[in-house]
Amino acid sequence: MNQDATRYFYQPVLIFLGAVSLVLTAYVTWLTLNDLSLMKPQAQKFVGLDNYWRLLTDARGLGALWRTALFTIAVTTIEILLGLAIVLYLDREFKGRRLVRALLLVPIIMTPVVVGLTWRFMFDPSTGMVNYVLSLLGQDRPMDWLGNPAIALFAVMIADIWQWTPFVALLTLAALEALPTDPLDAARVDGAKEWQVTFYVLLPMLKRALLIVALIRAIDSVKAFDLFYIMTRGGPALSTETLNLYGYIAAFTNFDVSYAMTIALVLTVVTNIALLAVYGVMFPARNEARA
Amino acid sequence: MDRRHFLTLTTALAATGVIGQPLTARAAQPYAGQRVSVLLEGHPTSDAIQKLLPEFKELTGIDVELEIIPEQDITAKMLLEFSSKSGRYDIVQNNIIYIKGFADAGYIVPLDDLLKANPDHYDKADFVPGYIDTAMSDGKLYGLPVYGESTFLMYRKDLFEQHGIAVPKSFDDIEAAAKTISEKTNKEIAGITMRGQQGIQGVYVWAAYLWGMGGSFLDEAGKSALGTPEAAKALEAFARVLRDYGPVGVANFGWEENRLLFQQGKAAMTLDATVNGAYNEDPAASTIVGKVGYVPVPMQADKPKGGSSSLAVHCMFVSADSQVKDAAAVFASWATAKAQQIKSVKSDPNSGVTSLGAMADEEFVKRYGAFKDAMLQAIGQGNPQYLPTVPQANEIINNTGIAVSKALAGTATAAEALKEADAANQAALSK
Amino acid sequence: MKRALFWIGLLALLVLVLFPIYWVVATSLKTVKDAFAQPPVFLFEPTFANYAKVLQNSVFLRGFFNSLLVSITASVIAVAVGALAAYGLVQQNAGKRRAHEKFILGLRIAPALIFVVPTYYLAVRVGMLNSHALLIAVYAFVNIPFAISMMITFFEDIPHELRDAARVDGAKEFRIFWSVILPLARGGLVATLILCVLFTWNEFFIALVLSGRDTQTLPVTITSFLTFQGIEWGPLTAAATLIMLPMVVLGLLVQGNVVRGMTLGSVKG
Repeated sequence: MNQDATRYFYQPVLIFLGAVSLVLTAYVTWLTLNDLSLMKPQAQKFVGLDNYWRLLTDARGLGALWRTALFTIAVTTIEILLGLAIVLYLDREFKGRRLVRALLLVPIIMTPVVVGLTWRFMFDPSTGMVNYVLSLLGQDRPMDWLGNPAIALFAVMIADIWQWTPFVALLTLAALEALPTDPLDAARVDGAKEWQVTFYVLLPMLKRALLIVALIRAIDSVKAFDLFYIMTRGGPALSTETLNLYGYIAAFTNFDVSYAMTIALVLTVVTNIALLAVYGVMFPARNEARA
Repeated sequence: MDRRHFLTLTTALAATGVIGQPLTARAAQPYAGQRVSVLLEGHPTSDAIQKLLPEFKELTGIDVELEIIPEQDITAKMLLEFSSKSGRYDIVQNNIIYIKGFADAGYIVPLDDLLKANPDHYDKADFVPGYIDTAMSDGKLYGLPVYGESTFLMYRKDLFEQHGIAVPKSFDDIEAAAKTISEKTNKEIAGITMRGQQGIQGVYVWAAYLWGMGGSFLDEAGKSALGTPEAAKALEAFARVLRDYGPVGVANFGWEENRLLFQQGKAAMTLDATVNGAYNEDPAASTIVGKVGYVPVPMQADKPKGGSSSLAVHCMFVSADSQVKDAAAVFASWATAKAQQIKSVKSDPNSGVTSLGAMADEEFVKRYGAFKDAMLQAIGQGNPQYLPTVPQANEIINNTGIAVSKALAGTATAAEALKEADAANQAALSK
Repeated sequence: MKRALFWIGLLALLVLVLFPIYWVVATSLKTVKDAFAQPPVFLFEPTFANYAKVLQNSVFLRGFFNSLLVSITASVIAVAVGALAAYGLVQQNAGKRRAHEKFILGLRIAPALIFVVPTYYLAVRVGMLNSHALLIAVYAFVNIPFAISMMITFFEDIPHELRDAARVDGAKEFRIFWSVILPLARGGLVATLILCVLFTWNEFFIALVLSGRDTQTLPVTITSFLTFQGIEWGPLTAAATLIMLPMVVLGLLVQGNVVRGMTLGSVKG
């Protein structure tokens, strides 16, 4: 009897969440099968899969997809590598360890809009600190970080990497501390050198944690919006327009609601596939153990 | 009820003591107690109107609920409201380029009859003719101009004199002058600065080159015309002069960045909105007060399709779903009337007044005299079709902005970039 | 020697991480002249003029109030609902739970664009635009799945025996939840609440589309600083500092849980 009562704790919530998302998904899907522009709402008409075909042949949309992929892969990889390096570096006893951890947390909890503004400020071609530091190092010609289409995407990447590498580091550090130390000690006793212990014992043990954090970062990067909106708004020459930004522009500049929803739906499907992968990695053992 | 009867009635009521307020105030308050919801752009005129609201309330008894949001977001906001027939706003403000689309969609109503019924503040003859004439569609008046501006070329008289350069009369002159300044000052001072940011910013200024060199956005049949050699030539010239003699970072310059750089004396020329004159001549913010010359945007074509000076007029429209259209019309005509515009010049940096009376006012002449004549000349030559006025205008500007940005960045040639934009615009137009 | 190298490396890392933040805060305390001096000045007489300017700006103050109201209310709702649901879920068998958790995670993953536009339409129809209730409802909605996932991890740490003992005593399920389990998970509740506030406070996209004049939250407000008066870096950096400061303080209060929470997926939309 009582066992059943626990159902009422979560079922209404889940049913409500489920119903809302079902209705929304159905409505959005319906929109993508129509041609609805806010400029002419009366002229809504059913067009079948046209919007999807349009996306497949839209050079701008495909470009945005490619940049989204490039951005996601690049920042995820770099953040993992840098984060891991930091962890290995910090994995020892030293005074102020707790303080260092607290400081590493600051970029993570900073408002992303403020992060975008900060880096826009740092990257200002004439008064920014980045170019000033470069000029001290002998780079005379100021770099136009956000105005040069060849490097603008990388400038946004730098901001993203700055904000999220500490996250990777802290998460990995937490995982590292939860690991048993026996295998490491055993390897050391067996005469393995410190780098061998790191590569052959430690890293394999951290693999699952790294995979999880990589997937989390990848999912967030696919959806990245704030930094792009604040730093470049997709320019110059479309060089920083990602799929999410393109969807936003389609909806709120071109008022092409149907096409915007098509982009959003495709993005959702992509991220959901990635999510299922995360889930598979994240929770397999624990749940089976309790069954 | 006509006015005279209304007066008699209120007199009678006042006599019986029903109405305690003074007769004059009461007489002009047929809509007292109604509430008008207004959506305005973030702009000095909106700030000025906001400050004057208590006066309006006292005068008419109408409550005004004012919402001010950035210009770039305003169109999306009002479209969503319009399309869902929410009636959320009684008055909205936007550029004249939307009049046709809004009117055709039945979002906004003609004002002629409303103003005939409520003539107290409305004086057609006081509006700059070039402004009020563009607020029409199919012979009906849809908007009351709040602010307007055109574009002109601003150049540093002192630098031009120092280096012996004549006032530019063509785009070639501009390039030559930019080259001279840039070389003579060893790039310390940029030859020219203009907005290069992808989107409306870059397009707004490049359009001067487009029209000035004989191109146009659309042809006579309403088809996209960006694939023409004239357009390609115009984009090439624009991109070249900025790439070679423009400031660092110009590809991300919007209105502010461009204005600030010029104000700080770091560029010898800029082609931009007339309102920039107000900033150049403001001693509190500018290091170049009195050093700037103002001349019209050049025309450099045998058979131009339209003028190269913009005509950006922003009007108040009355929403078709409004339940208080009369009160809304009273507010719109009051807010754009001469008396309020004169006050706005005093309270805010507003050089974009639309009232001839306000322009002749002493305060206006004192503040903006340095460029008033050039501004009026530019307005006189202003091209109401400077930016496309079709319903798909936003999308066309977005597509064109990409082409401008690409050419400026050098990731595509002007002709290639425009060919893409041309195709995208044509697709949008034929939807 | 090796020790010294370690400290130098650590210092370099901290400079990389903290310098941009320091620079924004420093700029907010500078006069216009100092802010754009070339070469940059590191020693300067601090001025609070920029803060005075921002704090006199009624738009900013309203944004601050809105951010506070929306993020706290939405978070309280999300945590209350989330705690209930999480408690129920923790009692289920593994198979059922796994399916439900997967669904919850799926909810969190959709880009905000997909629900923001339909929500806007709906809000306009029922006349809820420009009302705090709309923003609160939407943020509560996006925070609930996160709160569930987060609270599950805390409830799991509570030994099953406690609940079983209470049941033997004949306590009703809600009573067990309320008087036995919830007090034990107090720390978790607070941490979850703080994280929800943090996410909501920082969120930009939803607020950009769904907030009206009276409900604009700070991240949206600050972008209007960007477009209206030109980029005045002084007041802008002061505003930026005021926006991030409360969150940095809150975040440091629940340090360990921030990473735990974000691992469970961020609600960034």
